Formats: sequence, C-alpha cells, structure tokens
Amino acid sequence: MNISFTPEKSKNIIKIDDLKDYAVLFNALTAETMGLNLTGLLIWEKINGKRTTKDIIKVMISEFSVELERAEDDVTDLIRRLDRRMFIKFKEQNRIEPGESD
Amino acid sequence: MESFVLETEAGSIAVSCADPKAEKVFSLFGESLSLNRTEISSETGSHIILMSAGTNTGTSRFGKMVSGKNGEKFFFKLDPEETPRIFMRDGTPARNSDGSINYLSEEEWMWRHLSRLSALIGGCFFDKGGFLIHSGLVKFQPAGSEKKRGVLLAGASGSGKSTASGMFLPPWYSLSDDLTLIVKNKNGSYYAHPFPTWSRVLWKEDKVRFKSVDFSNPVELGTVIFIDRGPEAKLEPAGKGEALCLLTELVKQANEHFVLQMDRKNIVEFNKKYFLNLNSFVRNVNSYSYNLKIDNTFWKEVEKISEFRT
Repeated sequence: MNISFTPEKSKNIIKIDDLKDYAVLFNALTAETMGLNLTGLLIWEKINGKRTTKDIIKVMISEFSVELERAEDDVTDLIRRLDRRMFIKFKEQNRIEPGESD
Repeated sequence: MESFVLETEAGSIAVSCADPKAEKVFSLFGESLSLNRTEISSETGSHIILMSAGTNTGTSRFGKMVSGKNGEKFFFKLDPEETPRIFMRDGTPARNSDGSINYLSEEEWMWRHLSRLSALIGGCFFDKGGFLIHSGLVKFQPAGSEKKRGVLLAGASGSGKSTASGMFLPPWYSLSDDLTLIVKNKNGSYYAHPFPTWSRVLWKEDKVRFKSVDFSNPVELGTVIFIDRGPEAKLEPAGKGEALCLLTELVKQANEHFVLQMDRKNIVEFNKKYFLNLNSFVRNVNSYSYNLKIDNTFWKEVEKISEFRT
C-alpha cells in the first residue's frame, strides 16, 4: 500500500470505546462493525484526514515507543482493513484494492 | 374486527383489521409496507394504516397483502402481476441472458413480505430500546414456578441454533429458533418475544396453516449465548465488545429485506438506532459463547450459570 496517502474517517461512524474487551466501530451506512484492540484504537484516533499513513507510523513510534517494523505492520494492516470495510477513505481517492500490496 | 395486541413490559402495539375504506399512510424510515386494511395503533393513540409496500401510491413491486376472512391474522395473496426476483437500480426487472425474467415463487414472495413485516414491528420499538434479531429464544421455568427467564440463542445460520434449541428438556422450553423481538421496559429490564420461523411456516411440506403469532407472552431476558460449532463443548463468558459485534450482525440479518429499499439517509438512521440500542443491551445482559458439540447436553451446561441454578 502507498503510505504517503492520507486516510480520513468515513461519515456515519460510531465509536464505542468504553467496553472492557475492545472498542467497536460501527459504520451506520453498511451496518458493518469492527473490533479494535488498544493498539488499533490508538491508530484510529490518529486518523484525522491530515496525517498520511507514514505520519501515523511516525507518531506511533514517537509517542508509544513502538519499533519501526512493528509500527509499520500494525498501522498498514489496520488501515488496509479499515479501507476494505469502508471505515476510512483516502483523500487522494486512490483506494487500496483488497489484496493489494506493494 | 379481527385484532391482536403486541404487549410488552415496555408498552404495546395493537394490530387489527380496520375499516377497509380508511386510508392513512404510515411511514417508518421512509418505508411503508403492504398491510392493506391493517391498522396498527400504539399506546399513544396514534393510528396507522400501512399501505402497499414501498410507495404511498398503492402500487408495489411486492404486490398486496389483505387481511384474513376466517380468523387468520394475516393472509397473503400474490399481486395479479408476478413479482420479479431481482430489480436493477433503475427499478426495472433484471433479465436472464435469454431475455426472460426470473420471478419469485409464491413462498419466496410471502417470506419477503413477512420478513419486512417483522422488521417493521421491530422498528416500532426502536424508541423503547428494542430491536428485532435473528436469534433463537428459550425459556427457563421450573415446574410450579411462575418466574420465567429467557435465554437468547444467537448464532449465524448453520451455527446450530436449532440443534441447541432441540437439546432442551423441561424446565427449558424452546420458543423460537429464528427471530426474536427484544424490548426494554421502564426499569431497564429486557423482555423477549418469539417470532415464528417464517421459512418453516411457508416451506415445510407438512406445514400447518399459519394462523397467528402470540405476542402477548414475553419472557424476561438476562442472558445471551453465542452458539458456534466446535470440537469441544465449552461455555465461557463473552466480552461486551465481542457481543456487540456479533449481535449487530444478527440484527442486520433480521432487517436486511426491510432496509433494502430505503434511501441512504434512512438506512443510516435505521442502523444507528438499533446499534445504539444494542450498545445499551450488551451492558445489561450476561453474554456467553458456546462451542456446540452435537451430542452434548447443552442445557446442563447452561444451568451452571448462577441465574439458572434451582
């Protein structure tokens, strides 16, 4: 995936983050849910329509002392899954197709 | 006038055959359903006539539904024109490669209608914390006891809900294995109403003619069990987040035919309402997951939960 693209949250997403096991995202248009562990929730919170995927990886490294390889894997994997299930879209409008990798 | 009342601890809805000349249009989330000559009144006294499905003009791709003459609460008949199975985005029927149209069978048509009717009734309870869900329901009621408690058996098609329902012996009683309406009362307790398994009513070879649904006898609901196939029978607590995700999918399934014809705005509104109700629901019930082993006496496992110890 192209980590220079800028993810932004889709409209109509409801976030429930006060449950004990994991946070839940709900896309009210597609009625899809996605469970997020703590790392996933932290990444989700960094998506603001301004940061590129690369920026988010950097933030994870600097704020949470995550190693580069781990941060890249976690961020790109989650952003790819969020995109496939329409929880985010990319401002560049170049959507990542399911299964695509670079 | 034929009538039945959908009563719950949280309120009631009466459905009855009304004056056939009376015409009012009720629309829920932009949808109206073909319930010609059928009136729904709520506790608030509002009266509703549901017209032909999809539009307020009386025309419908789903045909018409009329009230029964011989005590049946619902009786359906096909529109004079047959109903195509699939429509294109512009509303025209999809055609096969040879140009022919693939029509619904009478049973399929009825099933779609009943599914939409069920979802509509569920939608009537959104404002009371309710929702319709694709799940089974069992009742626990020891002999001589007035108190009865419900367990929601949740699971995708093929997960073993019906099998699990069949495993119960008294004091367990299976009430539903397909659709259940859940409603919250003023005190925050949840009550469940079993719905018929419409496909069984319509397709079973030795089917008994469907006459009515008993909506008047809900059970208090405090437990949800997620059924799945697995090599080893095991009952263990499920997380709230996990429960919320799984239940959302099952509510989506129960309402998919109802949502099908809504516009984008109404779909979002409809989905938000039941999701927020589910968010409240999972916090107020105990959830468990169970890997179902077919030869296991499931009910004995469930009775280990403190709520069901006698």
